[in-house]
Amino acid sequence: MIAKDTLRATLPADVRLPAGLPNGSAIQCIAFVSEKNSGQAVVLELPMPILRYAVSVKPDSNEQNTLQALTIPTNNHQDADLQLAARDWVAAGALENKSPLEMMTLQGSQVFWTVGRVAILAQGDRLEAVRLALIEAFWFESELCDIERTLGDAWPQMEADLPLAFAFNERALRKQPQLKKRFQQVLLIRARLARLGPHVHAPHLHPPTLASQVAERFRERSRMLHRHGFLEDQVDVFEKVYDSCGQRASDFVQSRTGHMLEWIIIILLLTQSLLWGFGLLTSMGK
Amino acid sequence: MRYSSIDILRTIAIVVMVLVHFAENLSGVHLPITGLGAPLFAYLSGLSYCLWVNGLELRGISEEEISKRSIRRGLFVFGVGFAFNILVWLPEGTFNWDVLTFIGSALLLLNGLRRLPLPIPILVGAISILISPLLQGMADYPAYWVDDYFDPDLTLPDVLIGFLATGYFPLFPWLAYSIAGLVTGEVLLAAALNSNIEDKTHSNSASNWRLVFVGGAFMTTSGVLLSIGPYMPTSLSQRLLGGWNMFPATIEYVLATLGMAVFLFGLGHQLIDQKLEMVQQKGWFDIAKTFSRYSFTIYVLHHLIHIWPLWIFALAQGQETTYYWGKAMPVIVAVPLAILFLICCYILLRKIGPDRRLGIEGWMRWLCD
Repeated sequence: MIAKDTLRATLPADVRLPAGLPNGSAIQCIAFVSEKNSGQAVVLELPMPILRYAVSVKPDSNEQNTLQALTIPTNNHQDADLQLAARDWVAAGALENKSPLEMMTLQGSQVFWTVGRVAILAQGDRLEAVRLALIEAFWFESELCDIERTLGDAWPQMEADLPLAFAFNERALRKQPQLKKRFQQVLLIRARLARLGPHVHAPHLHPPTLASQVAERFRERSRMLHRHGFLEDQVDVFEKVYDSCGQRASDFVQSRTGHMLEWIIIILLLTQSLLWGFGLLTSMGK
Repeated sequence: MRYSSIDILRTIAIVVMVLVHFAENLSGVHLPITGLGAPLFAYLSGLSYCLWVNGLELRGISEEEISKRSIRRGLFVFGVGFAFNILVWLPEGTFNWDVLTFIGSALLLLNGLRRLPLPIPILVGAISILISPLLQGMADYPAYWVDDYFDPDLTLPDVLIGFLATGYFPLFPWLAYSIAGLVTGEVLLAAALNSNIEDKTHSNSASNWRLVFVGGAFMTTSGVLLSIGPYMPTSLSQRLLGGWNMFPATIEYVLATLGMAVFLFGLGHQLIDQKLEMVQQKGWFDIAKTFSRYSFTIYVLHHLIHIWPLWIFALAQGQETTYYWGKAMPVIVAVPLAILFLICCYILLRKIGPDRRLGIEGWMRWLCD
C-alpha cells in the first residue's frame, strides 16, 4: 500500500543545548504544517506551490517531520571545540535515525546535518539567513525521501496488480476500489513531485548570497536533482500500470452491464426449458 | 483462509444431524431440531467452496486448474454420495438423492456460477426457490413419498425427477443454500479486500451486520408467510406455500433456514472471527476445529454406526433388513447413544489430530487436488 504522511524523521531524544557554546546559541524545533495555528510561531512560509509552513514547536511535540536546528553564532567557524560540539550533537541524531552525518564549509560558515537535525556555525548576522535556507532545503529533501520510501513500499503491490493492466475479470472486480485508491495515490505523488520540481531544478541564483549557496550546495550534496528525475521515471511506471488497470476495469464494467442482461435472458430461457423438460419427464414418470 | 465461525457452525450442523438421525432412525422420533442441520451444512459447503477457490487463486493456481479440481471434487462427493446410498440405505436406496449427492452436484454448478457477475447467482438462487413448488406440483410430489419416505420407481424419468424436485435433497430448492454460501463468501472477500484501504474493523463489521440483517429479513419474511398463509387464496397457499415442511422444502422453510444460516454466520463472523486470538485459546475452538475438519467423515460414519447394526440384527433375527428401523429403542436411549458416538468420535479424531489428512476429506484431497 502507498502510505501518505509517514514518519519521516523521529525526534531524537537529546535536544539539550551542548555545554560550552557561546551566548546566542539556540536549538529550535521546527515542524512543517499545512495549516498554521494561532498559537504557533511561523518561522518560514515555504514558497508556492508547496503550501506549507515551518513553525516553531516544543521539543516534546508530537508533530511528525520535525527538524531540530542548532545555531551557533561565531566569528570563527573553524573553532575545533565548537565544531566538535556541533558535530557530536548532530551525530547523536544520526545514530538514532541510522542515517549518515554530512558537513559543508562555505564562506565562513560550517554546517553539519543528518536526517531531522542540523547544526550551523556562522557569523551572527548571517546565521538567520542560512538557517532559513536550510529549513527550506530540508523540507524539499525530506519530501523526496518520503516519496522514495512510499514508492519503494508500493513496488511489490504494483507488481501484484500488473496482470490486471492486461486483462480484467469478474473476480478482479472486487479489487476495483483498491485500484482506484492506488491510482489516486500515484497521482498525488505525481502532484507532489511536480510541486517540488521548480525548487529542485531551479538554476543557481545570481548574484549569489551565502544563504542561496548553502541551499544550492545542500541540494547538490543530497543529489536532489537526480533523485527527483529517478522518481519521475518510477512514477511513470506506476502511472502507466494503474492507468491501464483503470482502463481495463472501466471497459470490463461497461461490457459486464451488457453481459448481465444477456445472462438474465439466458437464465430465464433455461428456467423455461427446465419447466418444459420437467413437464415432459413428469408425463413419462409416475 | 479458515474462519472459526465456519468451524463452529459446521460443528453445530453435524451435531444436530447426528442427534436427529439417531433419534429418527433408531426410535422414529422427530426431535424439535429436525431440519436445521442440513440447511446449515449445504450453506457452509457453498461458503467453504468460495473461500477454497480464493485460497487457490491467492496461491497462483490457474483458472483451468481450479475448474478441474472443482469438477473432480464435485464428482468425488457425488460418487461418495452414491456409495453411501448403496452401502447405508442398501441398493434400493441408490437414487434417494441424499445430501451428499446434492452437495456434489452443487459444487459442479458453483464452479460455473462463481465466474458470473454476483447478481446472476443470486437470480439463480431466487429462481431455484421460486420454481421448486411448481416442480413439486408438476411432479405430484406426494406420489413419490410412501409413509413419509421417498420411494421412486427405478425408471429414468423418476430418477431425474427425484434429482431435480422430489428426492430427499433435490437440486431445487436446495441449490439456493449453496448459492447463498457462495454469495456470502464473495461479499466477505470483497469486504476483506476493501477493508485494507480504510478502517478494517469498520468495513468488516458493516458487511457482517449486513449479513445479520439479510438473515433476519429472510427469517422475518418466512414468519410473515407462515402467519398469513392460512388467510391467502387457496390456489396461492397450496401451490406456492406449504407451511413449515422439510420434505418437500417449502418456501417458508427455505427462507427461515437460509436466513438462520446467514444470520448465524454474520453474527459468528462479527463476534468470533474478529477476536481470533481470544477464540483460539478456548478449548471449545479445538472441538469445533476437529469436528469441522472431519465433518464429511463423521456424516458417513455416524450412519454406518447406527444403521448397519439395525440391518445386521434384523437379518440375524430372520427379519426383513429394515424391520427395526425407527423402532429399535426408545428415544431416551437413542439420544445418549448419539452423544456417546460424538464423544468417541471426538476422542478418536483428537488422537488423529485436526491437521492430519485422514478420512474421506483426506481421500478427496489425495484424489482431487
